[in-house]
Amino acid sequence: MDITVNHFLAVSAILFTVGVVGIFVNRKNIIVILMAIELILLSVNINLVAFSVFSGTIVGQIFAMLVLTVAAAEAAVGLAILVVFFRNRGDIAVESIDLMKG
Amino acid sequence: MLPDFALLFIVLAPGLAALIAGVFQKYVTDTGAMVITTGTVGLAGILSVIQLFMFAFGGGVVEAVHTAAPAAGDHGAAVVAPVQHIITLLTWMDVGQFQADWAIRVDAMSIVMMAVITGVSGLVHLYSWGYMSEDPHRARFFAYLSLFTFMMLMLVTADNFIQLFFGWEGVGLASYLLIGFWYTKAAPNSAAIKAFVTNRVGDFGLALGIMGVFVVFGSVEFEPVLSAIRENAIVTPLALADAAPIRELIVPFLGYNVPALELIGVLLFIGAMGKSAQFFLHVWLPDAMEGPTPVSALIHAATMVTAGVYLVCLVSPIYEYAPFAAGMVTLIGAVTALYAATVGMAQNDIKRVIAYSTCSQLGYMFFAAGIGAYQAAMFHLFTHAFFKALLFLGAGSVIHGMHHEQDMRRMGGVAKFMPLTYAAMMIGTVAIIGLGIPHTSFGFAGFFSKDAIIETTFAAGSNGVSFGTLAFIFGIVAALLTSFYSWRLIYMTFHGPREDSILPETPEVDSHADEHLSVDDHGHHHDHHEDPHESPLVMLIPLGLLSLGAIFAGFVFYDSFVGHYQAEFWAGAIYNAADNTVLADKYNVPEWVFWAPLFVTVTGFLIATFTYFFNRGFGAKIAASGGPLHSLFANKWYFDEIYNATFVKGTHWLGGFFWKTGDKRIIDGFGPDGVTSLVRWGSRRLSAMHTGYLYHYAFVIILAALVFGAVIFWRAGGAG
Repeated sequence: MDITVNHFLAVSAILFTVGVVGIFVNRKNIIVILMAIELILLSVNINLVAFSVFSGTIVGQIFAMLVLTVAAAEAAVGLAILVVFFRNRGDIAVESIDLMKG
Repeated sequence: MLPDFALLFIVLAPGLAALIAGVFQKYVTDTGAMVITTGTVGLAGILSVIQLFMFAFGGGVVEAVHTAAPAAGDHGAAVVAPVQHIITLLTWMDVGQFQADWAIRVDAMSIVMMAVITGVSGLVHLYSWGYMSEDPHRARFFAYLSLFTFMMLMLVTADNFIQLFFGWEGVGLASYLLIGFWYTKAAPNSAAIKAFVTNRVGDFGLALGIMGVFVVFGSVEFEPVLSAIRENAIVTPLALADAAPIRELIVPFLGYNVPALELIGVLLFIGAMGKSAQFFLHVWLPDAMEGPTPVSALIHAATMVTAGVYLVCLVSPIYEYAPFAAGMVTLIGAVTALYAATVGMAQNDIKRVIAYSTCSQLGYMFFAAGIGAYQAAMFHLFTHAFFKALLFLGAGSVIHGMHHEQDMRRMGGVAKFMPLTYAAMMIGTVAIIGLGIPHTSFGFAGFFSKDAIIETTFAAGSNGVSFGTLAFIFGIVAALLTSFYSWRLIYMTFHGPREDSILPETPEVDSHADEHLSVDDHGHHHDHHEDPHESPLVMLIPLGLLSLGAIFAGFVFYDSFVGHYQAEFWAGAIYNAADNTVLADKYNVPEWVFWAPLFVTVTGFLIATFTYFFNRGFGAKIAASGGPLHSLFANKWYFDEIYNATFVKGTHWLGGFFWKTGDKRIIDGFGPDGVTSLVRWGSRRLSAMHTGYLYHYAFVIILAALVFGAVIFWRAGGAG
């Protein structure tokens, strides 16, 4: 069986869905949310690389590197916020973060 | 006539005095206000009376009339332009055809009214020095009295309907202020409001009538309007109907086509009904007795309530050619005369008896005007002012002497304590019942005027004037009742034993007892069982002067007002159509008509004497037995109850409906309240979406991204 672009896209879609569901289903830990966001970004990366390989251009792979960089920076900023938040509140459970409740 | 500056003084000085006493009362003090108002009004009164005598007996007028219209002596058979002198002070309104001036119109009508108004007002001012001596607000009281005098003079000296309306409303205001003078008590306040509101009903008719006059005639000045009717001129109503002779003119009104003169006559009469307390709109007058007694004498007996009669007589040409309106005047007047007399028999408050008597006498004046004897109506107005003011001031003297007791059941035997007041009241009583011997000059004032009315009414009935015979019968019966209740008042008040203890002190009765605002400075206030005392001289002088009027006014002025010289006296101010000969016919009525008033008067006197003098307590027994007739009379034919159940409750319900359903539920419900509650509801829903949980926000963000992505994808035609 040949591996076609559809297989890559299917994996990517599954990863994306896992990431999105991970954001909502998780009620405990905010770090898991960050990880879920990483998963979503990775699924996008898989898409980019797959299209790049199958279309024979390099642009998609370069863009994937850019996304990885941004994801790393975003993870760093997110974790930093988390640390500060933990210092202030002593808790990072998702349930207890509802300061913006209307 | 008097020189212009004297006329100006008569009319304007009371207004100026009211201004000084009212606005500057802090600077002029109570005594200063009393001196200023009494002085000016008293002087105006003297001048006015002199003017009346000059006018009636000066001779100049007769010549003036004969020069102006040679046929004037023929009982108004010819068209007579009124002899009048108009002093125009200022232009008030001048808009297109609509022109109204401030003016002083001096003719027979206004001269008579000026003498009555300022004369009685001057005496009432003087009387109030004694009656109100313990009141802490004398300056205000005298300012109101003078204001009233000024407004009434503006009314009677107007040369157009607008100034008349100004005076009309002005006296209504003064009446309201004076009825509610003791404003700390509930009863005077509600009586004042009742008077004001009832008068609004009538004033609505008057205002419509004046608008009708303007629409039909294109003018609101008396002389152009009345001369157009006298000469049957062709008028062009504003945008309503085609030009036609005024007596045949038909105008549309509320979808009906009605004769213009009938319409105007009825509307003006509705105004007169309100002001003169005629049947249906009479309910305010008895309640107005909550005001101080001098006010009752001046406003609610002698002057203001006669403004309606004055108006009807002033526009006599209209009623001469409006048989339906004149019939209405006759019918309402006759019914009022009888109705008020029946109620007057069963009242126990001394002032209310006299108030209903006033109402009844006003009815006489109206039916006299209605059948076309305007001169007789004015004559009765003139004489009535004297004896009714006398009766009221006499009653006030009794009330003053009895330490503010007004219930006749708690009086009795007052005569020996107050002989002078008793004498004055006797004169007033024989004047109002019209005691006098027909075909002679012996008689009190009421005899001349009331008999003139009865005789002209009989003549009118014989001539086929509508409701003439009915008015005659009602007038005779009312004369019987008048005699009865007047003597009942005398007997209950002045004769018999002192009966101040037959009734327990009830709050209802006692509400009249503390008339004064301030109880503290009223030394003998609670000594109800102390013997009555005669009133001070300052109150007895007006009684004396009015007694002279009540005795002689009829005899002296009979020939001028309704007798052989009436055409010369009125000098065209009152108009009688050529076929209206009631004044002349009154000499040709059957002999029994002359004697009928005397007969019923004596009968009434005998019944009253039997019931209240020889069988004292018999009247009380009739009252106690509570028969249906007595209940009907004592409760004023249940007019207050009927009006309360219909108009008051109805208005209340309507107001509540508009307030609760119309305003609160509909306007507010869909307007401000509806919008705010919608916004509150919506924002509560929106704020509920802000749970504060990150994953909810994230979900929304992602969902939105997906939706927008899908939309863009679909729009770009990605599916294909």
